Amino acid sequence: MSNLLVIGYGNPLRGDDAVGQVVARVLSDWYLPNVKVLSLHQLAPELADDLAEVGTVYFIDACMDRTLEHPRVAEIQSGNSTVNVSHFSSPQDLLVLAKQLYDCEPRAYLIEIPAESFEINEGLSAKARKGVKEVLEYLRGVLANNQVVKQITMPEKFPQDL
Amino acid sequence: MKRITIDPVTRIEGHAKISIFLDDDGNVNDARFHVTEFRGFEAFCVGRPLWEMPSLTARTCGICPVSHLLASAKAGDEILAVKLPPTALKLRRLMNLGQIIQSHALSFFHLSSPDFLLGFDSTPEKRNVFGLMEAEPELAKRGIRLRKYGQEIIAALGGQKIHPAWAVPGGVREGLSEEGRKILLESLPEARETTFVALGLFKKLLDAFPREVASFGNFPSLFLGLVTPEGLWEHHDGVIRVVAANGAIVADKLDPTTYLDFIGEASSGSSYLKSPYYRPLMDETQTVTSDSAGLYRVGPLARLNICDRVGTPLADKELTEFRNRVGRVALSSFYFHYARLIEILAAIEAAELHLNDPDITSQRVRAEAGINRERGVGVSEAPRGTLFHDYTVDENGLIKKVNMIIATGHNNLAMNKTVKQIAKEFIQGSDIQEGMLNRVEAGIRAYDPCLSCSTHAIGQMPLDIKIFSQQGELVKELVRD
Repeated sequence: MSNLLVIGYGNPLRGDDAVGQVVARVLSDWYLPNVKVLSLHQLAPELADDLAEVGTVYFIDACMDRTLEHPRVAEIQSGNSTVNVSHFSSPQDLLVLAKQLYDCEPRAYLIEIPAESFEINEGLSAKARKGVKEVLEYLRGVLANNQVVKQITMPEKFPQDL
Repeated sequence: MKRITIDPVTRIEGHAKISIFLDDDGNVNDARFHVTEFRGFEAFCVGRPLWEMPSLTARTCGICPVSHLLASAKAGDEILAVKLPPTALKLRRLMNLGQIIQSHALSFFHLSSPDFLLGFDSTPEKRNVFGLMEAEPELAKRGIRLRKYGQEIIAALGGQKIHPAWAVPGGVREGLSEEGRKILLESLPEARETTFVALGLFKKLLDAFPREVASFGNFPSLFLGLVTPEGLWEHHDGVIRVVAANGAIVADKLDPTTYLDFIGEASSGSSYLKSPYYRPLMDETQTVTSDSAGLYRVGPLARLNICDRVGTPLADKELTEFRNRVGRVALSSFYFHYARLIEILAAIEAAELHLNDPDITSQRVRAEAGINRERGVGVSEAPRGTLFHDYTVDENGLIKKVNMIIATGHNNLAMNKTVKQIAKEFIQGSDIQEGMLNRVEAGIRAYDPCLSCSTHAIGQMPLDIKIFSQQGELVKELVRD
């Protein structure tokens, strides 16, 4: 069973909204033991099942605040969510679901990557690419601290074609 | 004249708002449903290779990727002019059944059942899936597992749940493994049991909502969708049938690829969503409105209304009971929810038949060919209704033109009419209560519209209701976070 879950999400046809999936795709290629990586268009309620099976989860998304220059990492908690669930859920929604349905509360972090454009387009802006690289460096450190992986080779190129 | 705006509408996919216009006496004069998200996706596809279209269109939406994938692959089949290997066709059908199960489960359990189980007038803090978890935790869990089962069917075939680039012109990339078949068969009984639990619950609740049944899109209209050539329930192939409110078959055995002969599309200045209509009943020199004779509905309710029977024993038994309760043709859109549950059952039965078919694990799943036609139309039943992909290519297979009619678009006129009917029934004057507005929203949710098909998830969606005087002055505002 994995002890760490990474979920990169966003719309790959909406420019920089793809950054979460780009990070997830790179991580998948690292074939990390004990780490489950999901690359998704959006968060949906059944992911509560996956959250209930791990100790730590990282959500990786594009940041719609265009003033953000570097990736932002924040620990998040379920709290008392009262939002109206749509076809998509927020990370906090999923934490509430996991807690209420399965009495599980993984440690959770939201990593937001700076983004410039969400127009219909494939490919990342320079700012988003820089953010992807910074997040991968960050995750390499996190994973090393967790002693899950001894050494990770950073890719020279990031996948553009998802 | 006063105007009430619900912007955005919650618990649907995409960006939309509802405007309600009151006259000086406080009575509803008109109501409109607007889609404020512009897709622009058809132009984006121009210049792309045909073979890329299934995976590209599947990425337009996190909710309906399988539907786009299959309709796109079918359009590609037409252009290649190939006949699919039998197993490829069965596998595509199996994936579409998984899509119907997961999509309908989400709609029923997570988006709409809080209204039924907790009441339209309960507080918004409680009337959501979290309130449902407190009130009915086992049901909430079952709902999640049922949706997951549908996703597992898709994953067993496509390899990834959200955007499986699996169906291609000429067939599919990979067959189903023996292990995958075994796993899906093992989980199937629980999915069937959950569906019966939900059906039993909904049937008990139905009598508690006579006013909603009477006003949630309860009007005569046409119903359109695919049936088998023999008139049975269909979700992927077959022919188009159009049925009137009295059950009369208006048109039958229409070739879906000739859709332009019988479906027209009108534009409105107030919404990005076009308004398809049934051309033979329209005077096309007149403006298309929600009162036009060409209004039709698609989706689960339409599919049950147009078919003679489903063709599987459990679903047929439920369909008989459904028709005994509501009539041969169900006119109220409130019954979309009921129809969804019957379709989940039908999909589970059909999936079981496919999974027990010895050919289902054959690895002969793709026909290869070059460009043999310049145009191809792919039609499939998405959970929300009939989906059309229409491509024109050059001699190298590069896309020159794309036209897509998405399932939600077909229901645009009906959703407008539904909003107006509910508003007239429940809203009077400027003293607007939460429960009244939730009913207006719930009328739209009955259709389970997917408006985004490319929209970035915006997370929390507040409800903002504004009431304006005839002079445009803000009289009252209600905001729900």
